Amino acid sequence: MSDSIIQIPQLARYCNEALILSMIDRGISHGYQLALEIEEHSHGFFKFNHGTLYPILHKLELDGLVTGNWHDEGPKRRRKYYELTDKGRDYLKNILREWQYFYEQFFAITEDHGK
Amino acid sequence: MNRFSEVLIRINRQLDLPQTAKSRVLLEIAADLNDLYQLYHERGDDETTAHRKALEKAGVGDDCLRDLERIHRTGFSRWLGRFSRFRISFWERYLLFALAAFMLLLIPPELDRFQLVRVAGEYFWIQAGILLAVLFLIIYKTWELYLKQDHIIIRLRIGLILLPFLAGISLLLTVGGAIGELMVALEKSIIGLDTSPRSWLFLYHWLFKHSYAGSFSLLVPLVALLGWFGLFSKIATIERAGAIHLLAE
Repeated sequence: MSDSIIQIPQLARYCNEALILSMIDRGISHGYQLALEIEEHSHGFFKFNHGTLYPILHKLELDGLVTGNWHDEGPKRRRKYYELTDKGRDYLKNILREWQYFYEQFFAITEDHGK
Repeated sequence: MNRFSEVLIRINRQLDLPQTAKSRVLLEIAADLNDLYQLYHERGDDETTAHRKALEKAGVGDDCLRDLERIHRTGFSRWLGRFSRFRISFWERYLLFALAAFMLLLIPPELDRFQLVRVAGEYFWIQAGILLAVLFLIIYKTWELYLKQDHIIIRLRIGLILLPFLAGISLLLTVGGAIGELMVALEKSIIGLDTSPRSWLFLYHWLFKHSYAGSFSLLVPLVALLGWFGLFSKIATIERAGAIHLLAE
């Protein structure tokens, strides 16, 4: 796919985006939860530090794929919650489709290895 | 004080962003650190262990801060950053200074060719001097805010009060000068020894001179007050943003 969203040199970035957007789509909306839930759902395979998470979340927010809303939760306590926008939902749909295609092509080449 | 104040203060120092964006980032990090601490504490870790685990999981290192700076800096602020005193070379500074000096030496003689200057007379030069002082102060404060990024509020506020003060001086001069010269013109035309129609020319001359002087003079307090309002609002925003992240628990 010549006009694919996923560019091979930036596989890690698109992988992280897909994981994070999927989690937000499931209703996991708070920053610290995202990293923990991804690690738990993948049985430790995908591990995020918040240091990796913040730049991705903020980039997604700047690109209009998610919105970040501040909620007051008691005195001197504010939390930021993320939600997918319509643009973000479309982007997630497309990027997951392309990841599907990526793996199909990958295994089309590698599945006969060793036979 | 937040239990993670030390870390937040370090990040605040290292993160090279305008204070408003920086405060939002710090608030988010502070909230997540506290949530992680609560989580580990509820899972049975003692305070010290929960604190350490929260910091490890947060993992906000230099790479993260550089990425955040890259994301949050707009194209304009990135371009402005090129002129920071830490990036501009000695020769570039020398050239900018020479250019400014050349402009300042060139402009006044050229201005004298304009009718406004000739008719307004000495009032033009006084108001031009005040305007120059106003512009210098605005440019200096803007440099402090956006290029030097000195966000120590007390230092930023120093000298800001001069702007409305200079606006007041300019208005006083405009009005006072006009009234003063009107008195002189009236004295010459009505009360003076010369009662010929030509004496009324004094009044006409006053009107002509002060309509020119007034139109330029009103520009000076306008620029001063607009500059003061813009800078004051920006400093107030920084102050508020700074207070928010310090108050976050």
